[in-house]
Formats: sequence, C-alpha cells, structure tokens
Amino acid sequence: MNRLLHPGHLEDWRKRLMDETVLIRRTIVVTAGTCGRASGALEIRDALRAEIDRLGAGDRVGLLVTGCHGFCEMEPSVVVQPEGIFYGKLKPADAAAIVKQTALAGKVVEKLACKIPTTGRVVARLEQIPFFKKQMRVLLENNLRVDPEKIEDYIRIGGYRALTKGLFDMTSEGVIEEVRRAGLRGRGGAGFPTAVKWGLCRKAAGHPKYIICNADEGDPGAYMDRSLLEGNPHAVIEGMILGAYAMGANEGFIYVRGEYPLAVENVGRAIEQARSCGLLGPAILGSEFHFDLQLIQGAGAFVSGEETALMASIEGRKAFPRQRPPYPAESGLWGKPTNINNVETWANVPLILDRGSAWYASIGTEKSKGTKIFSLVGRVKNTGLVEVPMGVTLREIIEDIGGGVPEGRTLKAVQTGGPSGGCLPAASVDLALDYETLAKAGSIMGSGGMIVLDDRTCMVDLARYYLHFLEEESCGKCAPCRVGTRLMSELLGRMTAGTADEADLARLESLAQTVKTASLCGLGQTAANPILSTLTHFRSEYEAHIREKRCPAGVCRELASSPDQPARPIGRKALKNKERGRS
Amino acid sequence: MRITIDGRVLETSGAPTILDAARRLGISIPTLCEHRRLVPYAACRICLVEIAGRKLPAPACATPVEEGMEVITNSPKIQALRREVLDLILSEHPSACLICLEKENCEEAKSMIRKTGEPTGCILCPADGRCDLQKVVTEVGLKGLSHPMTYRGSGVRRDDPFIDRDDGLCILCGRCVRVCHEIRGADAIAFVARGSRVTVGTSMGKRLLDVGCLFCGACVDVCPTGALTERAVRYASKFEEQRSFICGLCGQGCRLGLRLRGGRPVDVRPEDGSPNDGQACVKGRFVIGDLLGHPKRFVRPMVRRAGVLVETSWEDALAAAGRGLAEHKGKTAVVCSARDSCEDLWALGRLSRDVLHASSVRLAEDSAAYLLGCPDGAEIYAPPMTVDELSQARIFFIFEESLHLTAPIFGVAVNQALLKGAKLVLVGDGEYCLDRYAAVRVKAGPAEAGGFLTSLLRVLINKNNSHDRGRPAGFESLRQVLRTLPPDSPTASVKLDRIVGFLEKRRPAAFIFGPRFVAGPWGHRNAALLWNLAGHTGGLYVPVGWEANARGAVEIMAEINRGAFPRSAELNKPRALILAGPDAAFKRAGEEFVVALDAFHGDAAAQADVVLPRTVFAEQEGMFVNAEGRLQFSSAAVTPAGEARLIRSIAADLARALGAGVPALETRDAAFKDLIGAVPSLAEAIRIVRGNRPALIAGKGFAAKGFVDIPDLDMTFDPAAAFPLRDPDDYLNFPTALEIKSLRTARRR
Repeated sequence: MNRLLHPGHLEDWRKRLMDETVLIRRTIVVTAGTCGRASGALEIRDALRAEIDRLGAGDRVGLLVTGCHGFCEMEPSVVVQPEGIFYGKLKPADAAAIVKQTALAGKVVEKLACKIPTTGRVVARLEQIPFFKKQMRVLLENNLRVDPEKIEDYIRIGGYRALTKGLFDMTSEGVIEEVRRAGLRGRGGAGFPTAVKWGLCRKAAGHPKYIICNADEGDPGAYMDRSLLEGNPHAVIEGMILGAYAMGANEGFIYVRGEYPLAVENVGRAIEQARSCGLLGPAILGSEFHFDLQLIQGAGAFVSGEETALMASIEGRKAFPRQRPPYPAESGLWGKPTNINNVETWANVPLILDRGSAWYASIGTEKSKGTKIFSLVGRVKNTGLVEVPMGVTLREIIEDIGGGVPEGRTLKAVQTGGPSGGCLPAASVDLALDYETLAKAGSIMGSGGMIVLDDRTCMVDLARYYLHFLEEESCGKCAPCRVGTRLMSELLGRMTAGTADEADLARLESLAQTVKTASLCGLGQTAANPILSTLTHFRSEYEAHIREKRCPAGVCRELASSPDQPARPIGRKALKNKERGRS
Repeated sequence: MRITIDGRVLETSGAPTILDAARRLGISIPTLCEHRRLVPYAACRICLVEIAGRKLPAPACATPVEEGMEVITNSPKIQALRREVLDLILSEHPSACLICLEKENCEEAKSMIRKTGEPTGCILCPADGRCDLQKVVTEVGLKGLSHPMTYRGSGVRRDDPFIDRDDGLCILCGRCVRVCHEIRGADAIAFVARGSRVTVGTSMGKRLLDVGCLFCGACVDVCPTGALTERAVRYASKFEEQRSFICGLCGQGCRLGLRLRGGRPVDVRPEDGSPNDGQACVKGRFVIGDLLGHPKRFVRPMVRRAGVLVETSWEDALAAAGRGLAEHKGKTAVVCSARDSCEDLWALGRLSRDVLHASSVRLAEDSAAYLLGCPDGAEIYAPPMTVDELSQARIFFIFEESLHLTAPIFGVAVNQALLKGAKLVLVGDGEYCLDRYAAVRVKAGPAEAGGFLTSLLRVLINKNNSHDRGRPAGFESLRQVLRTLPPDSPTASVKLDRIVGFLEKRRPAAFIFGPRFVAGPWGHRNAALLWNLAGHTGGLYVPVGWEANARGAVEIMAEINRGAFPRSAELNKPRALILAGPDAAFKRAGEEFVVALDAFHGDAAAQADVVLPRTVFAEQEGMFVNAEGRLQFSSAAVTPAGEARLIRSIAADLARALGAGVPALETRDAAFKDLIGAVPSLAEAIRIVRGNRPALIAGKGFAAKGFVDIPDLDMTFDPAAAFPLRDPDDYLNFPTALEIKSLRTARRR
C-alpha cells in the first residue's frame, strides 16, 4: 500500500484511482451491513458475481459490496449505479435479470422494482422512492459509494481531502472556529456545541490529551452509529484526526460495543489501512502532527455509553460512572484532558471542513444545524435509517418517509431518544425535530432512536419494558438508581399484572422524581423519563390498569378481556384456576 | 476563595470539597460512602446539597468548591430528598428494628437474642451501636419505611479465615473495595455483576485465600455496617476503653489500639498517625487477642525437678536460677531478642556485662540488614528513612522479600507509589506477594544477585562517566574494583537495558531488602553493592528488619559489647545460658545450666532448667526503634498474663538472687535514663524528638554519602555456626503464627 509522505501523494493517488474506474459502465451495489447480511445480502452478492462471471461481463459491470444504505425494510437489496435503480427484497434467483437487463442494458426489471402502494406506479430510481425522496443524505449517501474494506474507495470519493485542508491550510484554532461556524452540536443526545467542547479541551492544562469516539450505541432499536462504522469507517477516523489536530491530542480511542462484530472488524481494518498509508501514526502526510488510534471493544454494558463509565472501561476498570465535575475536558482518561464525541459527530467533521461551514450551516434550523440520522422503527411501514435536515417535522418522517402506520391503525405516540428519552403523543406530530423543541415537548433528541407506536401499544407496558431494561443495565453504583429502577420496574410490573392500587401510582411518581434528582449519572437521571412522559400524556391508561384492571391496548396478557365480558383478569391467573379445576 | 454555606461565609484556599468546607464551619452533612482516606465516590447520595445556579443537587463529598459558590445543606427539599434516598437504601438493608415500636423494651432483653445466622434487624446485627447507617438514620430523621424489603444476601459467608461477610447487610458504599485498591493495592475484592444484582465479591467467586487477599483487615475497619466483621469477635465488639500500644510482631512498629472490656482484650484496631496511619496487617489486626491470652502462655515460673519442669513460686525459681548462674559466673552466654524494648535489652545487657561478666551477649536474630560491609565491626548502620519518603519513590528494587508479610506498612507505601505509576523490579528466586506488579522480574537468589548488582552498577557508572562532576568519595576506587569483579551473569543482563532505562527516567529509586538477602557468605558484599547503587542513583537504602526493635537492638548490643569481653576460645564455650530470645532450633549442647525467659511453651523452654514467664509487647511499656529508624514509645495496654514479669524486672531479680549490687534499672524511667546516658545515638535521636520532627535514629558512618568498599566473599562464614534465619512470623514460638504460615502457603498455590 502507498505510504503517503506528502499531501500531493494523496492527490496523485486519488487521480489514479479515478482513472481506473472509467471503463466500468455500471456498478451493482450490494448493501451488506449487519441488516443486509441478516436477510441474505451475501447470497445475493454471490449470485450476482456468478452471473457476471458467467456472462463474462466483469470488465463492464462492477460489483460493490457496501454497508447499509438505510432502507432496512427492503433488505436484501441492490442499487444499480449510476442510474440509481433500486431493487429490494431480492432472492438469489433474481440475479440473472438484474445483471442482464439492468446492469448490461440499463433497463428496469419491473417485477423487482418498488411500487407506490396506493397507485401501483413503478418507481425504480432512488430519488423517486418516497423513502429516499424526502431525505437529505449527506452522511449516509457515502455508504452506497464505499466498500468499507477498501481505503481506496473512500479516497476516490474525496476522502481525507478535508484532512489535507485542515493539516496544511488551517491552524488548530482555525479548525475549531470552522466547526463553531458550522454550528455542529453533539449527536450523542445532549446537543452540546462541539466547538465549545473542543475549545475547553484544547485550553485545558495537562498532557497528554486524549480523544475518544463513543460507539457504544446501546439504545434498544437504534443503530445509526453501527451503520456509519460498518459502512464508512474512514469518515469517522478522518474526523477524529482532525479533532485531535484541533485539540492537540496524539492518541485516540474508538470504543465500539462488542455486540457489533462487523463494525469492530471494519473499523479495525480501516485503522490498519490508515496507519500503513501514513494517515495515522507519526508525521501524518508528512506534517509535524502525529496521532494514532486504538480500537477498544465494550463488554456489553449499556452504561458504558456514559462518558465517565466509558473512560473507566478503557482504563480497564469496571464501567462505573463517576461524579462530574470535573468534566472529561479537564480530567478524563487517566486524569488527563479528554474529549469524547459520538460517532455521528465525528463523521460530520470532514464534511464541514471539506464543503465549508457556510454550506453546513445552511442546513437545519437556527439553533440546530446539519442533518441528523434517525433510526425509524416500530409500527411504521418503511423502517430503516433516515437522514433528514434538522427541523423537519415528525409527520414528514413518519408519513412521507416511513409511509405511515400500517393500514387500519392510528398513530398513538412516537418514542424518541431511547430509554433516556420520552414519548410524544400523536398530537405533536407537527413538531419540528431539533434539540430545543424536543426537549420542550418532554422528550429528547437522543442519539436518534425513533420508535413509532400505534394503538396496539400499551404505554404502561412500554414503560415497564424500558424500566426493566434500565434495572438490568444500571451499573449499581449509586443507591437511587440501583434501588429506584428496580422498585419502579416492580411497580410497573404490578400495574401490568393488575395487582397495583392507587397508592402504587403515587409511589411510582414520587420514586421517579427521587431517582431523577438524586442519581449520579445520566442513566439514573433520565431513568424515570419513560414513566414521566407517559404519565404526562397517557395518564388515563395507567388509571385504566389500576382502577379497571383493563389494558386499553389489549397488550397486557394478564388483563386481556373480551368485549362482551366484564373486565376480569385472565391469562396466568385464569390458567391457574383452570388447572386447579381439572385436578 | 470565598464560599457561602447555609448563609455562613468561609474563606478557603486550595480546592477542598464542599464537605471539607462545611466541616470546617462546623456544619454537619450526613455521609455514608465517604471516608477521609479514600477518593470521593459519590455513590450513596446522602450528602446531596443544593448549589445556587445548578439544576440538580450535588454530592458534597465529591464537589470541589468554586469561587462565590452558594451552598444550602439543609433546606426542606434537601432533607426530604435525603430521607427518600435513605428509604431506598434501607429497602435493601435489614432494618426492621429502626421502625419497631418495641425498640426500647428490646434494649433490655437484647443480650439474650443477639446471636443469629442472618440478621434481620439492628438488634441481631454485630455492628449494632457502631453502625454508620444507624447514625445517619438518626441524623436524617427517617421515621418510617415506604418500600417493600428486599434481602440481598444469602447468609453469612464463612469460607475464609478471620473475616465474615454478610451481603445482606452490605449497602454497596464501596469503601472496602476502594481501600483494597487505593490503599492496600491488593485488589482482592471488587464489585461483581450489575444493576440490582451487584455485590462485592472476588474474581470468579473464589475464596479470598485464592485471590491474593492478605487479610490485612482494612476492609473490616472501613465497613460502615455489619457486612464485614471479624469472626472471632463478631458478637463481642462492644468495648469499654481503647488503649494504644506498639505492635511487636514485625519491624514496622504499627500503632494499634487494644479494645478492652472489663480489662480483657476484645479486638485490635489500627490507630492513626505515623507510621501505619490507620493500617495494619493480618497479624496486628486479627491475632493479638489470641496471642495475649493463649493457653500456651507461661503464667508461673517453672523449675526442673527430677528431670521434670514443675510450676513453682517466683522466690523459688529465682533462687534456683541464682544458684545455677553463680556457679558459672564468667562462663555464661546470654541470648537477647531484638523484639524487646530498648530498656529491657539494656537492663539484660547490663546484668550480663556487669554482674554475670558473660562470655557473650548476642541477639537471637540476624541483624545483618542494618550493618554494612563490616563482617565483624558492626560500626556502620543504615541511615533512617520514613514511610513517606518511601511512597515518593518512582522505582523500587525489592530483593528476596514478600514485603506485605514482613513489612506490611512499607508494602502499603510501595503500593501507593505503584498506583501512581512507579515501577517495580523484583529480584529473588522464590515467589513473592508483589510478583504480579513487577515490571521486571530477575530470578536470582542472594548468591547470584551479586552478579546482577555488579553488572547494573558497572553499566550505570560507565554511562555516567562524562558528566559526573563532584564525584563522591570512593568513586574511582569503586570503578577500579568493578573492573576486577567477575563478568556479568548472562541471565540477568538481558533485562539490564530495561532497568537502566527505568532508572534514567525515574528518580528516586528505593532498594528494599531483608535479612535473607544479606545473610550468608555473600551478605556483606550484597549490602555494599546495594549501598553503592543507592548512593550512585540518589536512592533510598531500605533495610527491612523483621523484629520490632531490630535497629535499637543493634545499637545497644554494640554498646554492651564494646571491648568489654575477653574473647578467648575457652571462654566462648559457655557453661550456662540465659535464653531471652526465641530460638525454635535451640539444641542444648553441653550447657550445664539453662535459664529460659519465655512467654510460650515451646521446644526451647522445654530444655531449660528454669523457666521465668515473661511479658509480651502489649503488656510492657518501653521504647522501640522500628524499621524506619523511628523511636516510638509504647505503653502497657493490658496487665501481664498470670505472674509474667517484664524482662527488666527479671534482670533485677536475677541480680538480687546473685547477691550483686543491683543496677537500679527496674523502673522504666531509671532504665531509660541509664540507657540514654550510655548510647549516644539514641540520646541524639531523643534530643531531636523534643522538636517537631519524628525521632529518627541516625545511621552511623553514612553522613558523607560516599561509596563503601565492596568486600570479598566472606569465606570464613560457616553456615552451620551461623544463627539460623528465623521466620518473621516466629514470634516467641507464637502458636498462631502457624495459622498465618498456612495462609501464606495457600496463597502461593
């Protein structure tokens, strides 16, 4: 592999790489992230390769295996470039038609293409498909253009250009200033201005300084970071080198949760490649700046996503958070100034430097700039990752992109921000998605989890699910969180089982307040959010569970009842009675 | 800095926490997980306070004060929050008694129903009355409990010696885990599991014996509840008074507190202040109670009649001893113990020299660690060093020593430094407690280590050649000598580069060794090499004496022996023997009369003609010089067992029995005055103690910090004639030592 000793080497290499691809007329892109592989993308890839070989079309048709492009509902899928013809839910047998008709002849295979459900009109091209039409994919689009195993692909599409610009045309302060002007805010959830955080770390006394990429994505149903790391790891690495340059750090860590084996593999390989090219290590691109990265694997604890717990874990200790202040910028890893940012934040940095802060600041709302990736899941037709500019409404995401809730159902609520977030009722679908608006409405942006709930969802059961999750995942260090989450989970369990009374509801509310106020870290302080937000908007459901022993959504098994029978607990209790009668 | 707490203004410098500041103002904030020796942890959330301008309350223990900060510690909101948090903690802690209506009646009937397998309330808890949680409940003013009770424990765990663990009483404050890591560096216990299942435990749930626990008892001492207790006194922990004394079980001179009820020992707790500052070890913490009242103690004098030792009165025994010794005046040898106080040693020494005209007076233990390069002169003694200095070192060389067993407090200091990033080079051919922390491990016993040290010294001296100005005395001759010494041993030199690299980056160094390393024919050379290394690198030369008064004893013996004895071969064969030091390997060989001053039944005493019961350390007052060189004064914490007498009383009694003019050294003051008058090094140290500094005995001959000659191997050394090197745990044939030894074997497995 090339060792780049000068920024000119990088540009020469890029030019060579671009020339190489001129002959290829069309490329079939197989999206094989974790979601794609789970639904058989690798078999599709093999079938396509066999077909191309059989036709001897290897010189005219390219085959590119990439990460996830976001439309997980339709996996396994392929996109034929440059036209952007999209085929979803494929079987290996479809390969022949795709290669022969689309890749070689440029024609759309109608039976494989998407159709608008209402009209039946065929929409083959990405930009026509409603799921993609409303999105603004500045981060995710590269996932379709890059084979994560090859640094060449990233360099071909302009990768590490921002790094050259940062290292050779800008000062460290200049990089921070550019990020400040872009208005980038932390994508991990809190939305703290990134440039301010970087500035604090830069100014902090102490040496060495460290930077960390927080890829311990633990919210149930959220996988934005996984897709970025799997599909385009070099974007994150480039962002981190720039950040390290801005803050004066020479060592960085990418902390990936151990349950993401493909991300671990791809990031590890990408670091190796960058290092052997001279993009990591001493004298990057011949400059005086040196920086290296280490990949750390998490060991399966949700709380490791909390920054102080994550640092404890990197140091080799049990992932217990500690009291802040001091914040990591002052005293982080091994007591040294440390900056920690989320995957998506780092991935945004090269974009800002490459295309300019003015371009970036033109996207989004006044206070929230740029795009945000959400993982749209739950009771919605098109699930997947969606990248939208800040400030779009929930309605646009759910109805236009997600295709709305399934037929015959009504939207009940949207849960954002994972276990730390809250539920927004159906009435608030016209809210604009930005940090402040969501916070005002009683939820949070979070890292981007978005779960759509329809009338078949019981809100008490939902809260019970989250509290059970938090009870299991609380680290157990501080008393309010350790005991409080367990007690709240028990109380919610009693409510869904029909054994709770009015006093329990009062107890739940007061517990929620105590845990929120007294807990040590973010996990505990937000642990009550699923309860508090559902109580605000859906109190009647709690009351139905307690007073009438009835679950309005018909979810809680032990309270299920038929319409012609007065509410009476069946389920486990009824079964027990039945057994007793028989014996 | 200026801050306001509850409307009161405090000017403060430095960066204390809110809790420190509040305490300075006399404002009380309840705490549970906080401990003044440990890093703030902020887990119990009892010390939450309000800070103006912050959304959430902050824990006082972990929040540093900031300029202009306004803190409120007792608003109704905060008080309510504390009650709720405490309510949560108590829902996992057996607390029936806290809210019981019959509480007061129960107090009267308590003694009858206290012992139980698993406590369900305070009344059944071993920590009742000294529990921090009880205090906090009173302080916070919790009246009732609102959550269902959950028992977290599954009975008391008793898989390990000395310590009982009851998870059901644990509030997960983390003090034990933190003290084990931050102070002791043993890292035997940690939090295991997560969420509501988290407990304090060991790796893979093994026994403490198998995970490197040294049973120092620090976890028991910091436990705020009854979760960790000392098994032997689990239900006897209410004491009436606590008396301070100096532990005599090793050379560290720990200040311990003996807790007494009705004049009898209950348990022992380490006390604050130098040298041990609240720490102890398995011996000091758990076995002193056993030792003082052990069934094997001699409580009455014994005399051999018709070949059998029988108990008798003091008058009778002293008369018998007097008769026997009078016969062999001038041909009596005296063996003293470096575990006895300076006054006792002096009194016995004076008796031997001035009354018995003894043929030899010597120590039972090997004191080579404090002597340097002088096979017979004993003229040079190591300089003092303090535990604080030791904990500042950045690289440690430890030779042949399991520091945590032979010098636990030095071990604590080394741990503190290792946690701060110091490096450890461990030299020795055995297995040692600190093995797992060693950056470099050199497998070389005392015989081979000389080669390693020579190579190291040679490399360092040659490296330093060009820019070493103001070379200390002896530098050139040292270099000459190094040239002539045998070449480097190949095994050790492999690691030399790394060690030299450490030494270049890290100063000061500390060279720690015990008697084992400087015993044998190579002993003096090893000591000289180490001294030169310490001198050359500006490091600390740290001999570890295993006995309570090893340093003091060396000085006193030198004074007693100063030219006073005719040393003809004929006289060196003693006819009578006074055995005041422990000697498990003692075999009577030709002595016609043996008097043993002993505390415990053992092999040595069994061969004696007269046994005079003597006191042990906690029963006697006196001055001890510990391994640092620090002069310390111990008081008597308990009355002597049975009819046991102090060594200096016995010395006076024997003098009277011999009809000699008695040197009036029976009282402590008289013995002390006489001693100070005769031994200038002690007098000098005492003069300094009157100032603010600790009294440290000054090493003789080291003032110039020069190099010493490296002596040849002592080929005249006869291992058979040398005193056998005793086990450091072999206290006066102390029986519980067996238990400790078995612990050590278990740990090395």
